[in-house]
Amino acid sequence: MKNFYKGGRGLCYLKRLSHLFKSKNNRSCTLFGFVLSLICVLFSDAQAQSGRTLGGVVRSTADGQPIANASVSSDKQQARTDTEGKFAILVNKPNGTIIIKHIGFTEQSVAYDEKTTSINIQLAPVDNILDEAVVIGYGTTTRRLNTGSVGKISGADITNQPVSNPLSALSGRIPGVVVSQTSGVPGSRVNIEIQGRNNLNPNQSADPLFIIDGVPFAANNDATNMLGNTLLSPFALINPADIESIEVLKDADATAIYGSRGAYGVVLITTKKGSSGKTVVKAGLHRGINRVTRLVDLLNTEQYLEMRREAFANDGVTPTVSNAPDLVLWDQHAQTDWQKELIGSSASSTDAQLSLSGGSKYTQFMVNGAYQQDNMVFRYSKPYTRTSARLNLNHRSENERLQIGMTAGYGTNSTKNTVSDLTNLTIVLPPNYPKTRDQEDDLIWEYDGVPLYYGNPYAYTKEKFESRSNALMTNMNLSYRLWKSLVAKVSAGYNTTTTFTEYMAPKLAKDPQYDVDGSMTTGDNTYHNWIVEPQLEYNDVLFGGKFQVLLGTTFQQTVNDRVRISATGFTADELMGSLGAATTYNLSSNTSDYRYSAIFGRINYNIMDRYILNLSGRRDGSSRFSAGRKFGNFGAVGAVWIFSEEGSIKDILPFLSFGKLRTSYGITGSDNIGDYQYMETWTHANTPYLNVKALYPSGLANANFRWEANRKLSLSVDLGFLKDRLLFNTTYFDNRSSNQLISTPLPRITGFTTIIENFPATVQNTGWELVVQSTNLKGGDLNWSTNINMTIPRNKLLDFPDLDRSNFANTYIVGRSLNLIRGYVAEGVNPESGLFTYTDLNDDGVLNIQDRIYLGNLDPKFYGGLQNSFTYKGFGIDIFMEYRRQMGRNYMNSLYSDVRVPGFIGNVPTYVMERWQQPGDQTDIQKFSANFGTPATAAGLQFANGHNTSVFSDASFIRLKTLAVNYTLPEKWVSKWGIDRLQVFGRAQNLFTWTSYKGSDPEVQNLRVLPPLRTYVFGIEINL
Amino acid sequence: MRNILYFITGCILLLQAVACESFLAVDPPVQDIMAVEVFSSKRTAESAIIGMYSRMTTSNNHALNGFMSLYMGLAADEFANTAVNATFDVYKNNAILGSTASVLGSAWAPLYNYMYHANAIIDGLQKSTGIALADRQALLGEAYFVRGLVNFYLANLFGPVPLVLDTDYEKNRVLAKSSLDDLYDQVESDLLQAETLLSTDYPDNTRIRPNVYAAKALLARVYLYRENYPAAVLRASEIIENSELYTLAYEFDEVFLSDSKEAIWQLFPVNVSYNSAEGLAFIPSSATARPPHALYGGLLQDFDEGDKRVANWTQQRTLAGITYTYPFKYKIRANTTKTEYNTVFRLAEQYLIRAEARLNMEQVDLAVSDINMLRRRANVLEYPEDMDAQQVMKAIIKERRTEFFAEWGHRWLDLKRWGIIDEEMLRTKPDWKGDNLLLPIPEAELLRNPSLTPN
Repeated sequence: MKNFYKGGRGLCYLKRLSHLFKSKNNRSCTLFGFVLSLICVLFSDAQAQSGRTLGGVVRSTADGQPIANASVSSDKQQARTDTEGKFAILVNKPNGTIIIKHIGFTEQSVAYDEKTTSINIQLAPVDNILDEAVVIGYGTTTRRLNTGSVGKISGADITNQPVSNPLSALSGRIPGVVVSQTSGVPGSRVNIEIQGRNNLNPNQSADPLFIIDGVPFAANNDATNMLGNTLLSPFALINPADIESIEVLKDADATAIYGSRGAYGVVLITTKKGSSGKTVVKAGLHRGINRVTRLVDLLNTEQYLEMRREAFANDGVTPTVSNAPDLVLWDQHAQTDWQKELIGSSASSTDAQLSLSGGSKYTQFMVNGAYQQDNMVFRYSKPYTRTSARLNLNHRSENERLQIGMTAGYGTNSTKNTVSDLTNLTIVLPPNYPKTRDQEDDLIWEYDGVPLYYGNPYAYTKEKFESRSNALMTNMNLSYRLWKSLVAKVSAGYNTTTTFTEYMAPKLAKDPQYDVDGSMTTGDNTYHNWIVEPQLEYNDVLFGGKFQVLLGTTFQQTVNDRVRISATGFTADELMGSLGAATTYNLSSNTSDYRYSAIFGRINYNIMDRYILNLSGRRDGSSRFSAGRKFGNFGAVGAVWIFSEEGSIKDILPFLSFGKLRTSYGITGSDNIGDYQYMETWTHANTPYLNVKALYPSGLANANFRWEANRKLSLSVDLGFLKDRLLFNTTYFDNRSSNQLISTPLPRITGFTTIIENFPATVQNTGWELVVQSTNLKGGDLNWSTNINMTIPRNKLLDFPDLDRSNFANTYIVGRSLNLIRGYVAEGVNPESGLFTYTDLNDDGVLNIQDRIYLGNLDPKFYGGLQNSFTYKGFGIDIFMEYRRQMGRNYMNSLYSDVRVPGFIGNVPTYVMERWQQPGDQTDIQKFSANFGTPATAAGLQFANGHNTSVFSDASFIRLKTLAVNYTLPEKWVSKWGIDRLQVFGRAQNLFTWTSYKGSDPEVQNLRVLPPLRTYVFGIEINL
Repeated sequence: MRNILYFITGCILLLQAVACESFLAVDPPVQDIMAVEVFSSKRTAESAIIGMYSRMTTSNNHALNGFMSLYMGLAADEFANTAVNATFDVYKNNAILGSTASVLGSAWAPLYNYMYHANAIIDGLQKSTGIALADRQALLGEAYFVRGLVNFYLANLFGPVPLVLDTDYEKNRVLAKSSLDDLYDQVESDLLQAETLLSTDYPDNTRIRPNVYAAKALLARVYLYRENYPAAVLRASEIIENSELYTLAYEFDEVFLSDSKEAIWQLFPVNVSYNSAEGLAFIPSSATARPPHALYGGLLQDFDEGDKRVANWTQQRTLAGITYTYPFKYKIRANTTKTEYNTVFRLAEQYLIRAEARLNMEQVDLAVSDINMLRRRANVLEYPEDMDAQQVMKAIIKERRTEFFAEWGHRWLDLKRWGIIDEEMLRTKPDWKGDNLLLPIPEAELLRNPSLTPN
């Protein structure tokens, strides 16, 4: 009663505050009024009652840190430790034992007698993966107690993979997450899709939210280079070896605390921290080789000329200098393997790491630096380099009330390859293409006065392309324990990413047919981002359960500046690089300002580590919405029942060591739409019209768009057998995205290409995620563990009112996947005419949109990974295979483009030699043609853009993604040299791919893009 | 202790409450101006008008900056590209498909962008209060003129297309085609509006913004196409008779210069490196290079002996025993100094419009005298005034071909409206099938707009 009164008084007090609050911002208050009242009620001391009281402190043996919320029991008395690890328990008997339990630690019993007044207990952490820390939004938990769906990859699994972009290390490792590389060029962008596609516009970014040590990464996963065809990722600025773990938050319970930005999932990157103890110096060096893999076989000169002659004969056209220089003019015996010539280099790579860490009980530090250099497989190109440095400091005061942690990291990289991917050239250049360089290495552009069709493939050697990026990432966490169970925190961070891209094409690198002058273009793209998040955290024991409340607020601003300058008219090619030497300039600049603010909260209530309820919510405001529509509310509820802790279950199913049921449901949103979209704007042209600066419309306005709602449901079962040596997890998810906020493609007659709007369609993503973790052998010299994951996803357009009358009428079908294939039904090659034939479904004599029907979808049927790790004495082997079953676009898609079909000038894969030649031939490839306007060309162009069945075929694969072998030398040997630990290792990435896919790489599915490289590295790591 | 707690909680909430709304209010980005502000002053509204012309010449070979001359010249019987080129071959072989990238990217989309631009100006100016009425009227006149021009070329390239008259994307996103008559009615009414609103003076001493005569020039052409001959004669005469402003340039290399007296309306090339798109497209890149496009023999045969246009407007180059004759109306391939402007309307066309209209009004002698104006300049034999009507028509067909070759796709448009395209094309292109008179509606548009039907 007394407690209630106290709480009541607090409530009144806060109500007064909230009135004040309401008058300013009415809606913000309601959600959190509830949270506040709860906090209020709980400010009541758990007072000791009469009898003898034993006190003590519980700490961890690992780091000496106090353990909060540990359960302390004696006979029928129960108590819990507070945040300082202190407990007080009532004992009736003069002597006996108290039992201390905490998740993740070995249970311990301590005897006491009459003389005992206080007991200091040290608990040893248990070696159980269920109790490993899992980072979640604004906190950490364990796999055992987590109420959300979170996938995790450890730092060790990342460093085992020699990759330049740490995100590509996620590939195949986490169920529900599809990671696809866009190119094999080092530092290039990686696409990440969490639990399926729910965006109707395939071109709109559906990237998850990326958070590094609590601070949103300003550039997110956007390509930051303003020039060049390869998308470069800002994540390549992060040294993969600095990463402690990457967590992927998937369901509503895990993501709702990020509210509006959680709809597409959240990726948390946590960097390594210093630890107390001896100062450790760690040095590592590895060197390796990158090579292209899985290139298609192309025609040799003999086959190529045969194709061309046959094409002209089929068309009844005589080859002439103007329509067939390759047959009439060029050398008929020259032979160049352009793949080998341009992208066939073995590229060496080097990676060096040095770190220093250590500290005292109260202060720890970590300093490290790293350097990476990857040469390119493109011949004559310059290497990719990355240099990074990081400092981490953590301190806590002696009374342990104040804690502070700071990290500052800096990374810089430079890509000096080519402005465009050379792979595209290698697949089209005819094998008898004339010599294009003279004795002096000067470029030749004509052959007998006839301009060369594909220009000069070596033009890039005269050009200079460089993209230099740097990122500074800082964050600080300050926390102060105000009172027993109440901690006030501020986490703040600032990061900036700058990418400067420079492209110089001197006059001598340009085809005189088209260009008149040398040019230089620069693009400068800078992001600044700051965030401040004051928080209050309250922990207590209430009605026998652990009770945790978090309340916080966010202020964030991201400013993006882009400046692009093109300059021409350089006095001399040699002066290029100095903008002042140009005579004409074209300058454009863009600035955008994004602001974001929120209140968020979470309540977690845990009874006996058996029943857990987690409520989280966030009220968000974003500058991307018009006045009156800026705020949105999001929230989720998660619940866990660890049924294996129930006595009855223990009796019935003694073989079950762990059993957990988990469910969550909630709403998240997205404001991933770009800034200023609600404003109707005009912008200025960059060059004047004689002497007046022109204005033109730059934004179609829609002030009515509002927050979208993604409803996510997740259910899962965890089972552990053989003392958790065998663990199963099955998760089912059902995510529905409705009232989608998307950028809808508009027909061009509206004057624009897209409009941001809410779409009434509902997209459903469901799926099963399965994980099996097995410790097959343990304890002896030989240890063996296996880790399998599999995802079976399903994507479906559930509802779309008035689809027929919308701009998506010819794109989507209700009840089908968003990744559907809608095209003509191919009937193969007609044996009489030798032409591709397609079914004219409505028999109207023409093939058009009405004849395109649903043919299947491009969603993976299932995908996942299989990892086996072995250790034997000092040896370790880690083998990871990735697999995916899917349909994909095959080589035919690249073969038949808008501009040519086989038979035209330009090389093609050898598959085409199976073509139709004479009536009666049964084949899949139609007859060759070399000219526009022939029936064969017209039929071939129907292939363009993947609009028919023949373009799609199986693109499933199993890839030996990672093979890592290491050997740690016995300590007794190395200690003689004053070394604590010495390890030598070999690692390989993309070693083999088993696939029946016709084309280059089943993941990239594009002949024109550099496929993922095969990488081998060998190295050494030393601890001093 | 508890007070401290309340204090902090209160602070957090207060901070949030006070800061929220104002923190989230951002100004428009520095590079942009809000639409309402554009039409609040004459200066910015004028910049918006200029924006239409500026966009027209930003990209080479777009709709009103070379597309007509180059691509429709290839499609007609004027010239052919001399080297394999996927973009040109499609037009040369009349094998244009709905998926052909240039149809959407170089013709359809740019034209509709200008349309939106003009509609946004019309809408903005009509609502504007900050600009004096007279200024507003003059600016409106330019916007109506541009809308008429854009619809004219859409109708002639694609046939029936959606008629977009406002900026309402909700309506326009599913707009169906209008009939050709409706399109032309709109062109006519927009140009008539422009005719009443525009003044006789050019806004400055150049001709890179339209005056009333630019509207009349297009109106004359529209009336000719629609067979309203008296109206065509009226407009053409008004221009021809204003000899203070307009005279035929008697030196052929002066016709396309920035200070040409023959020009009625020109576009200033905003692209820093180039002058006209035609100059870049037709003139070979070096003294040894093969000209990219060569005129067909049939066209060359249509020139009379000694026609000055052959000497002044074409050039020849012989490589490996083959002689290529290429268009040389614009003399500058590329230069950062601008001396040649993209000439949209010029006086010579008005003579031939009037001649054709007069012929159809049975004023044969007057028609002949108009044709002779151009023949006199070309230094070829003038026609007798007593020629029979059929002969005069043949003379007009020939004169239009030789005067306007490689210029604004005149030949393609003429052949179609005269109904003689099949017989004429077969003389040059034996594979001509006659089913490619209209550009196909772009596939991407059909995909997005369910109301749109293919050609």
